Amino acid sequence: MAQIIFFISIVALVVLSAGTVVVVFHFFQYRLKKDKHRRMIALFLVGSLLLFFLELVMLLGADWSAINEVIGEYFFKNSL
Amino acid sequence: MIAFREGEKMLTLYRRHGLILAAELAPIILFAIVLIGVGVFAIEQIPSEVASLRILGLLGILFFLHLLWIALFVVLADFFLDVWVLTDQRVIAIEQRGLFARTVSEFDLSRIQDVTIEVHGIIPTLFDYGNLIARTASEHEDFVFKQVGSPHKVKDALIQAASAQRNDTLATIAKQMDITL
Repeated sequence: MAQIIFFISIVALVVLSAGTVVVVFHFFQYRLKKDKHRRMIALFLVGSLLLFFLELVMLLGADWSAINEVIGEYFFKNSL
Repeated sequence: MIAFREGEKMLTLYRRHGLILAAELAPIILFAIVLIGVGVFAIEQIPSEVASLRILGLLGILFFLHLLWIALFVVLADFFLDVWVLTDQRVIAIEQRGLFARTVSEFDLSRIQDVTIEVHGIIPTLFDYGNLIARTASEHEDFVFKQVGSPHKVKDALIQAASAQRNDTLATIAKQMDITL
């Protein structure tokens, strides 16, 4: 079960990263010469990278064996 | 990016009223605040026997916040890339609908027949925004600039630019006739 959650989290990370790239590409592609929106793009990238970093740290730092144990013990055994 | 003609000068850039942006951003920000509040409270309620699940809760909150962060900037992109560019020769109307739908249309100032302003409701009247409709001599539909701030000023600028362009054209014709005569 923990493996499935881990896999879903990885997929979510990939999707969110792709979303970030799409938004940045969009601003670069369609911005006008007069308005470069540099600050806005920088703010978005910093926020997105910060969140990505936090998510990655949590994902890799989590005790997946303990999570697996808890899920197996409290959810599956209790439901049976 | 827009390619301007040779010798063409950009006069002004118009966007929708700031209140429209605020109204679109408010639900996202509110949702993020509620998510953080409810999420943190829910994580605190997880019993100590299953404490290892707390990190999953935190991860879930972070994923949702990341999603909202992207949604926030999609709204900003939609707002800032949705513009009317007034130059000394034409108007370029760019309408951004989400990330993957975009309409770019333009009309020469000399083709403007009339300009109409529509301000309906209390809030648009109080905050001075409304729709500006430019009818042109073309067969295509009217050009509508939705929820533009200070529509009266925009209309005046549009009419002023159009008459300036007409005067320029007349002056050029007169000059050419002088030369030929």
